[in-house]
Amino acid sequence: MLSVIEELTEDGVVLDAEHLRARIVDWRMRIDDLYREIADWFPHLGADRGDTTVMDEPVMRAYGVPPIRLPVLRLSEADVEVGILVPRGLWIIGVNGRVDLSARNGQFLIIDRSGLFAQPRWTIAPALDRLAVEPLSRTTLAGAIQ
Amino acid sequence: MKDLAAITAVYSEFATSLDAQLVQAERAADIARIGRVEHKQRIHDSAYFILIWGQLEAEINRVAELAVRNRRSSIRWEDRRAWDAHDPENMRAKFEDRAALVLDRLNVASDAYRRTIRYYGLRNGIAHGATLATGIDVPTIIGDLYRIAGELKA
Repeated sequence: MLSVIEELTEDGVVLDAEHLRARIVDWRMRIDDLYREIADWFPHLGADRGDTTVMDEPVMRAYGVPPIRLPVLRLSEADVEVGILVPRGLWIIGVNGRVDLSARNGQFLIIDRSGLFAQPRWTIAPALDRLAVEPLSRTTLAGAIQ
Repeated sequence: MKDLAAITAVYSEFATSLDAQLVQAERAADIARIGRVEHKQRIHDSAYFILIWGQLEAEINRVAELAVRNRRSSIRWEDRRAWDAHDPENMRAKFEDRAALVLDRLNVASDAYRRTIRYYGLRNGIAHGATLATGIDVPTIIGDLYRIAGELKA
């Protein structure tokens, strides 16, 4: 299972613009699937994907891959916002992408702990207690936003 | 490796503060400020990585010196002849070789030696200002360094 540190040191991976574009497509799909799953978990909440954030990471600039926009997910209950999910970064050593959650109960990190191009393994942890990692599920996410 | 829990707590506190600064900059759509905060985050991650890496490196050095002392104390020359090439008071072997004294280079299942060398490469990249990473998940790396430390054998 290849990791980001292997990828960035080209240990088993050819790092070029084509590879980076494939990784970005995969990241976008994982984010879309994550947002869809969250909307399915909480059908009573509003799930707005209208806003976006810019993805422009150092390795993209190094290989001339232009910035792209990724969707932000706003969760609301009776027009009151209960959580915002923002993709924070893909090429983070130790993980395979991170989405930040600002919620009623504080800041949380939603992290994919899978290898490159593998089935996602999303986890959630409070930003102030980053070792308190739990698998992301309806229950653990509800603990953050409700 | 005794300070890693404290390092994680302090890291999390300041990383969360920087995350909040980034959210504010994004809400203000202030591109210049976003860039400055992201730069601070990379420096912050790198500094803590160097700090925790230093703890593993010190542990590898300690266990390597212990391994050399133990093997050199054998009265059988057949057992100690390769180890006599090392002086535990003055280990001159390069880091990769010191790591190979205490981790099985060929153990594919654990991969601890290769992971160690990758982190060593990352440490060197940071020291020379050459890393392409957006960030480093320091708590995750700390967990892995603990696992590597648990596999060191004198």
